[in-house]
Formats: sequence, C-alpha cells, structure tokens
Amino acid sequence: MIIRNLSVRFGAFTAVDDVTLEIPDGTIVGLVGESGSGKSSLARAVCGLVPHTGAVEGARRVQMVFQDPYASLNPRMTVAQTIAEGAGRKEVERLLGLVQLPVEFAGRYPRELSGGQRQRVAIARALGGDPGLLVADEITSSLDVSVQGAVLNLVRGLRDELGLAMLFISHNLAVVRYVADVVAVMHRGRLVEVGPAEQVVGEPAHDYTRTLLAAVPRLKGRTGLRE
Amino acid sequence: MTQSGRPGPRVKSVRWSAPAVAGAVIVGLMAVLAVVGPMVWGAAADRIDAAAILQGASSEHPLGTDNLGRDLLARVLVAGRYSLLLALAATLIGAFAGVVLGTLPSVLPARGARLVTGTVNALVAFPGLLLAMFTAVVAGLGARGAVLGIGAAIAPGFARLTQTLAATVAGSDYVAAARMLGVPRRRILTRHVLPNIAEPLILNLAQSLGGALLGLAGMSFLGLGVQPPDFDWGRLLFDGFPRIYVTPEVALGPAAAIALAGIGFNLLGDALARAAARTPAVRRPPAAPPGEAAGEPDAGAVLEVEDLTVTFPGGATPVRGLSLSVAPGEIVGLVGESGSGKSLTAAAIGGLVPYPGTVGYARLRLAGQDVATMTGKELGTALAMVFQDPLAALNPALKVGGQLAEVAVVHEGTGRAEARRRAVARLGQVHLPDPEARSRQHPHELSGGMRQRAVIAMGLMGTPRLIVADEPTTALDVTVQRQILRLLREVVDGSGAAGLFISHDIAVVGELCDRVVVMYAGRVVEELPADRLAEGAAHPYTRALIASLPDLDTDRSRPLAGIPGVQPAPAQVGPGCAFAPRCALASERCSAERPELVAHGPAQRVACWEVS
Amino acid sequence: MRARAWVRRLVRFVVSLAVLVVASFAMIHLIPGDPVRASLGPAAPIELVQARTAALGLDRPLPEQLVTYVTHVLSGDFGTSFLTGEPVGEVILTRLPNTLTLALLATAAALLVAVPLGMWAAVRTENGRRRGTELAFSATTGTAVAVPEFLYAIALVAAFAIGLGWFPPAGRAGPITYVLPVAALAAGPAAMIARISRVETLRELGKDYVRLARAKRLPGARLHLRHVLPNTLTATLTVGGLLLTSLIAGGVLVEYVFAWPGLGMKIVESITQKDYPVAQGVILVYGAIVLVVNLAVDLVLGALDPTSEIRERT
Repeated sequence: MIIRNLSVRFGAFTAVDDVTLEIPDGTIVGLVGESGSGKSSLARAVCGLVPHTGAVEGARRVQMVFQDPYASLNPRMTVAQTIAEGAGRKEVERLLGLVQLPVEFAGRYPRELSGGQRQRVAIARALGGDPGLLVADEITSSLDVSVQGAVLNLVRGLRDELGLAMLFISHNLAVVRYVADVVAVMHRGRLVEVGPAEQVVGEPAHDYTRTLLAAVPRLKGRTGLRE
Repeated sequence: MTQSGRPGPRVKSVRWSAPAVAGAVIVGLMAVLAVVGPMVWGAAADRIDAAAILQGASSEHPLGTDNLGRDLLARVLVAGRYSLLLALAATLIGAFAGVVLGTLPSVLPARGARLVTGTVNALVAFPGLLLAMFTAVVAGLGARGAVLGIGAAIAPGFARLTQTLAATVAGSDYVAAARMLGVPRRRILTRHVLPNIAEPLILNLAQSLGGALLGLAGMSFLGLGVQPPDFDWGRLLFDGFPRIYVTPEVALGPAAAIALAGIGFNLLGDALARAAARTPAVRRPPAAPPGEAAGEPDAGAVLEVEDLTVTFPGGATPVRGLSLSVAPGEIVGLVGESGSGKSLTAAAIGGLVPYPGTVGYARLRLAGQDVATMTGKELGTALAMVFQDPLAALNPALKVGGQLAEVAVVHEGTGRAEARRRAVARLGQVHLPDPEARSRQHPHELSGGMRQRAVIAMGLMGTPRLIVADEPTTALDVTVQRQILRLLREVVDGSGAAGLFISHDIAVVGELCDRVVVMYAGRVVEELPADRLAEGAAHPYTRALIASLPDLDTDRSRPLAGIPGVQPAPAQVGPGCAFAPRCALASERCSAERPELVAHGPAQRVACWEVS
Repeated sequence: MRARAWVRRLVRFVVSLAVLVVASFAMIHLIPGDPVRASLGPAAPIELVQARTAALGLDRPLPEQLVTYVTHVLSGDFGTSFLTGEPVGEVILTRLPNTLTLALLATAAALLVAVPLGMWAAVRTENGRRRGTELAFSATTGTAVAVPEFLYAIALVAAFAIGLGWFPPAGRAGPITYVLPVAALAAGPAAMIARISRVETLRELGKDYVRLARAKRLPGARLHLRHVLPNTLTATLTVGGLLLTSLIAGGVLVEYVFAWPGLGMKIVESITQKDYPVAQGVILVYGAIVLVVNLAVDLVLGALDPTSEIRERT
C-alpha cells in the first residue's frame, strides 16, 4: 500500500506536509521523529481519525494500536468482548494465541492485566479487523524495557507469520531500527529521509538524521558527556 | 513513559464513612415517610378543629396548629410524600430534557450543534431560581409551574454533563479502535459510550434530587409554588413564617424537615460521587526519624546512605535496606524499572516521601552532616532537586526569575535586586539564551528543555552539595535530552557537587554516570562502574535488562531478550531473592534465602548466589 | 488572554443580552390567555381591560411590539406597574442597590472566611492524615452546603432577632440590619467555597513545584501563601463568580424573610400579584446582572491566569 501526498492541517498549522510513503506487504516501515514532528498526526490521518488531504491507497482496512494501553481498552468490556468486536466470537481463541496470551484471559477485564498484556490484547483486537495495514503508534513507550522486548518480538513475528504491512511509529531510533525493515525520519511535518533500516542508521544522508543518531544514548563507547 | 506511576482503574466501592451512613439513613427514612406518612397521619392532617386554631406547641399538638386548627406535626409528616414526588418529577423532567439536549449536538449538523451547545452554555450560568420564576410567571402560580421551572433549571446542567462525558468517551482511543474495526455507530453508542457515561449521570440524578427538593421548597415558601388546599413543606413554612414572632415552633417543623432532607440527599450524593471519583494521590514529606550512627563515616563522600528503608502502613516496603554513597564530582546512577523503589529512594534522600510513608535509616548524611540535624536553610541550599516534568516543577503563577531569586531571599537574606541579579547569572550559567528576558517570563512561555535548565539553575542558587535528578530527561526529546545530560555533567564538574541520577533508561544512565546502582524490588542488586555495564555486568537482572534494550548495534536477525513475569509489588516480596521467579539461573536456595550485596572484583558489588 | 478571545467573549455577551431581552419580551406573550385579564381579575369591566391592553400596546402586531419594547428598554423605559402606576425603571433603580450590596457583602464574607478555612483544612489533612479533622470538615461543610439560605435566614431571625434580640428581625436601617441577611446569604456558599478551596489546595500540594519548594525548604507560610494560593485562586474565583450570581438569586428568598427593600422582594410581590410589567422588568435586570457578572469573572480570570484562554466554565 502507499500513502500519497498526505497533508494534515490544523488551522494555519501544517502538522503533516505532503508525505508520500510506501508500505509493502510483509514490511514494517518505522517512522521516527521527535515530539511535534507530525508522526502521530500522520498515523491518525492514515487511520482516518483526523481530516487530511491526499490518499491512502491499496490498504483494504487500516487498524491501529495506541500508545496508552490503559486508555485504549474499554474498561467495561472483557478481553473476549473487546477482541470479538472486530473478529467475531469464534476468532477470539485464535487471536489470543497469535499474541501469545493464554485462553483464560478471555474473561478478564483490562484492569486485571499488566501493561504488556493489555498491549497484546490491543494488538489482537486490531488483528481481528483483518488489517491490510497495521499502525502501531508508540506502542512500547509506556512499557518497561524488560516487557518491551517481548512485544517487539511479537510484532516482528506477526509480520513474518501474517505478511502484515505495518507502520511502526516511535520516538526511539534504536527500537525503530530493530523492528523495522525500512526507516522513515520525520521532521517538522516532512519526511527528511527514507531508506532500509541499516542504511539510514549506518549511513545517514540527512543532517537531521545525523543529529538524531548522535543524540541516542548508548552503552558502548560512553563519553560521560563531557564536552 | 514508564514512570508516570498511574494506578490502573480500580473497582469502585462506596466507603461507608459516618456522613455517608447518615445520608443513607436520612434518605431511607424520607422514603419510608413518603410511603407511609399519608396513610398513618393523613386523617389527622386534615382534621379541622375550630377550638384549636393558631395554637403554639402543646402536648396535644407538639408543633402547634394552623388557622383551621389542623395539627402541624401531622401535616409535616404527610407533606413529605408530596414534597418528594414533586422533587422527583422536576428532576426527571430536567434530566430527560438535559440528556436530550446534551446528545443533540452529536446528532445535529455542525451549525445546529453549535447553537444547542451555545444555548446550554448560556443557560448553565443562570441561577435555577431565576429560570423557575420565569416559568412561574408564564405557567402561573402553582405546583405545575414550579416543577416545570425547577426542571428547566436542572436541564442545562445535565445537558452540559452529558455533552462533556460523551465527548470524552467519544474521543477515547477505544472508541477510535472500534470505529476502525467498522463497529456500527449505534453499537458504539450502546456498547462504548452509554455504559461509560451512565454511572456519572445517575449519580448526578441523585444529587439533583436534593437540589430540586430545596428549590421547590423555596418556591413554595415564596408563595409561588404549591397552592392550597395542597401543601408541601415549603407551603407549610410559608404559612408558619408570619407567626414566627409569636410561636416560632410552627415554622420549626417544616424548616427542620426541609433541612434534614437537603442534608440527607447531599451527604449521600457526596459519598456516591466520592466513590465514583478516582482521586489522585497527593504527596507530603514526613519528618524523617533521626537515625543512629552506624559504621565508620566515609570522609570522602558527599552523600552517605546506609540501610535506608521506606515503609508504608500495611507492610509495603518499597525501599529495603538500601546503602549508597556519592563522592564529590561523581554522578551515581540509580536505575530500575517501574516499581523498583528508585524514585522513593530519591524522595527519601530529599525528605519528600509522601505521607503515610515512613523513612528509617542507619545513616543519612549530606556533606558530613546528619540530615536530621540540618536546618531548613542548610538543606535548602545544599540540596538541589530536578524532577521529570519541568513544567510541573515550576510554579505556573510566578515568573521564572522570581522563583529562582526566592531561594536566596529566603535562605540567605539576600536583597531582592541582588537575588534577581544572581538568578539571571545562574540562568546564563545553564546556557539559557537571553537570561535577562527569560527571567521575566512565566514557565509556560519556555520550551521543555529551557524549563529543565531553569530548574537546574534554581538548584544552583544555593551552594549545592548534592544534585538529585529524578528522571530529568524522560519527558524530553532525545536531542534535548542530550543537552540536559551534558548540562548536568557540566554543573557537577563545575560545582564539585555530588550527583544522584535516577532513571529507568539504563543506556542514559550508562552514558552519563560514573557509577551505576541497579535496583530491583526495593533493593540494590548490583553496583558497578558505568564503563563495565556493557560487558562486565554480573547480576542476571542487570544482564537481562541490558540484553532487552535494543541499541543501534543490536543484531536484528535475532529475537530481542525479555524478562518473563513481572516485578513483585512491594508488599509481595518473599524471603529469598526477589528476582528468583523470573531468573533463568535460579536455584532452590535463591527462593529461600536472600543473597547479600557482596564485593565482586575491585569496584563491583553483586547480590546473587549464582554469581559470587 | 489574547485579543481575539476578548472579542469573542464580548460578542457572546452581546448576543446573550439580546436573547435575554427577547426572552423577557416573550414572557408576557407566553402567558396562556389574556395577561391583562389575568392581572385585573375576572370581575374587571371589559372597558378597563381594553383600555389597559391598548395602553400597553398589546393590541399591536407582535413585531411592532418587539421593536417598541426594545427601543423602550434601550432608553431605560421598562413600562409602568399595573398596580401602582409607578415607572418600573424607577422601582428598579431604587431597589437595585440594596440587592447588590447584600450580594456583594455576602460574596466577600464567604470568600474571606472560606478560602483560608479550606486551605487550612487541606494542609492539615493532606494525603489522608488526620482523618478525624477531614471527617469533621467534610461533614460540617457538607451539612452547611445542603441547608438553603431561607432556612439560615429563618433560623438566624428566630435565634438572634427574636430569641436574643441582638439584631432587628427585618427591614433595612443602618449597618446592623445587614448582619443577619449577609450571614444567611453567605453561609451555604462559604461552605461550598471552603470545600473547593481544600480540594484545589490538595491538588496543588501534590504537584512537583511544591515538592521542589519543599526540597528547597521554603518556610510553610511562604510555600502556602506565595506558591500554592495563587494557583488555587483561579478555580476558587471561578466558582466564587458563579456563586455571586446564585447569591443574587438566593437573595430573593433572604430578602423575603427580612422584608428587605430589594429587587427580590419586588419580584415575589409582582409575580404573586400578577403585576407583569414589574415582573418582566425585574427578571430582565436580574438576567442582565448574571450576564455582567459572568463576563466580569471571565475577564478577571483571563487577566489573572497567565496560561488561560477564556475558559468554558462548568
């Protein structure tokens, strides 16, 4: 599928400025940028949640997984009810299996789950909508690191297993690099660089990408941050 | 990020405090009175006695009689039903009209929606009594006019509430998800919106009932409501009021009934509302109990903590026997996931543990002095703190420069002009562009990074010996994060203060700090030089934490490591190693016996049976 | 507050005012049947009814009546009383000051007592400490809020005017006559403001800037007065402003109890006696006061709070 010439304007402010981005099936495209870069507006526009100009072509249905797993599940519906909304009752067991949750979770309410488990339920709900494109907006940034790894593995597994096309949005370049096949860097509403993950990280072409890369904290080659 | 510490939605329950019980009992009695009152006292209330007109209190007529000699106590008891029924009618009319008005904007085209919203907003500001009088003029004196009027007065509030609630739910992520799944509009309304707004609406109904009762009583008391031969409490008060100079008790009965009903409904409504509201926790520092000196003081350290424990009532102990020390010019990183106790450790060191937590320690010394013996001035100038959200850490009502200057004015008696000069100098020191102009701005006029610089500058107003930074960059973008980290390093190097840096992000800690202290379930599990983190970490938890962190060199062809299970809650930590249930190396000994933190090589300490 | 927001707010005020004038005009015409007949009673001769109808212009076409009404109102002519023949405008002018003084004094009294009380309670009971104090505070204020102003008025009259004889029971003559009406009017709102002040203070006490101020070891008084108080005032004053309007309305009942020569007393009389021109004029003035107070509250808040747009108040 392809996002073509997409723009989002809020009054006089242009949050997303003429973005064109291709997301082939079986590919995770990582979208990285800082706050205010327009990456979340782009995600919401692709999902049809905010008014925009331009087109999203080739995707049968778009589903989204949100940042905050506390707010994205209806507190008054069980896991099974939540998942069944898009997929139907019969599919609940299969979908729980896909996101590696035990079947016993079907009868539980969101408040009885941990953050990572909720995010799995949200992913299962989105998969139940049989998405041609799955948009994941900062889905691990409210999770602990030790839980994040498992969710990222799940995301990659689903791509391989289901041949999903996915737009994976994060402020964390290391996370995007690990999970995505293609990395797109967004800055002030525009895409400044798009390329294979290793290439964007290894040989950044745009100044902003380099700034971003230099700012990523890393364990190896630590400097103590003295000038 | 992970540090917001937001409690999950809890199962609600009414806390049966004394006022709640009192409210429930009064409302219950009112209901019983409404049912049985007219049956029991109906005849007595209507019995005309020409021999006993306009009497005061007597044993036969405890509240006196009216101008036809009817017993007033009986009339008060009988009037309960009518008063409550009228209130109920007014409330239902108001609620129905309000819910319809409140849902209209989501159905109507934009123009009409704005018109309805505007009308509701204008009406909400109008006192109910004025609306009620308007309808009283139009509909004429009597119960009908009053009920319609009070109903009309209740409606705008309900409309506003419905509108806000529906808008909140309609804007939620779970409704967005349902829309994307193609769930029909109708079903979104019945499954998602209505269940989540019904409860507050019903609560408001209960509260409005009390208001309607008082409003109707007021109208009747003015002679604008219920007219003879009908009577409610307000009408009885209207009749009794002129006699207050001679026989005050005749006004007492109906007045007490109205007051009691109002109080009952209000107390109950309050208790229900409180049960529904999820009140956020608030913080306050307790007085730290003085510790007994133990062991030999470390002459070189600025901060010495030994055997620090934070306990909450009910046995939860989020920080257990923690010891650490920080040397001048050194930054020690305290790292752990949410629930590890790292932020409470920082709070305990700053004397900011929220009530009812209690802090105990064998030693807590700052610059060689027991913090318990330090004066506010000494602590206030020697200790600098930086928090996660720099906007919340600055007072929104005060200008940046004034907030900085305050420290010098309060603790050092510096003159205002001199303190302001120093504030501007410190803002310059943290590389805030145009410090003079910035100092005259309010915090909301600064960017996130600038605010955090201002907070750091505030810490530099005194002569800081220790800078405690609790997730200072978590809310910031990576590029800004790097600038702030650089600034912290520069400030520590420049002032010779000790730095204690708390973070969930082991990469940030590894990059900035000299030494790293890893916490798990309230205890230190490993302590090591930061440059050994990447290769030399020994504790299985530290190693797993590092392994699960993707960085720019992580092998993309292999699955990322994770740690199964969850960190135990502070109240659920067992006798053994708290990490044992999630640890691949754990043996039987690990779950039975807790390993002490022991030396592991020259500069490292580890608490693990399998390593040492 | 930005200029555009000011303008928008002013436009809203003017529109509301226009709607109010039309509503007060419509009031008379919404009365079922013939208002003049209703006012004069069934026994009045038909000639009188017709003469009065003509004098009021009620026999003219509606649009013409509206135009006449609006022009008259704009020039300060609110018509004449059915009963006394007095110009309504004059009645309003002599009585309005008495009503406003009462409401303003009560608002001031409520704020002065309640804001410090609420803050004190918040500091004492912060984070669930001193459950006893909290319980006593919430029970007392919860009870005080629930008692309507006319019951306070009656109780005060019974106790201090009739029982103890310290104050006159009714009428307006000198400062001492203000004490009981102001107290009756202020009691409930004071309890309400105290509760809000406590909640707002607790909210502020939980914020990081307070933690930071505590880490700096600022003295308690300075922390509470200079840091916390200004941040609680926005919410407290918003409610205080709304309370002023409800105080003006509640004043109707209090005026009635104390036979206070204000607008409230007049409106009750006029409605009971079906003196429609007076009722119409007084309700219009009451409505206009509410609009002006709301506007003033918004403007003051906009000026006070550096971060606020004009807020939609709840």
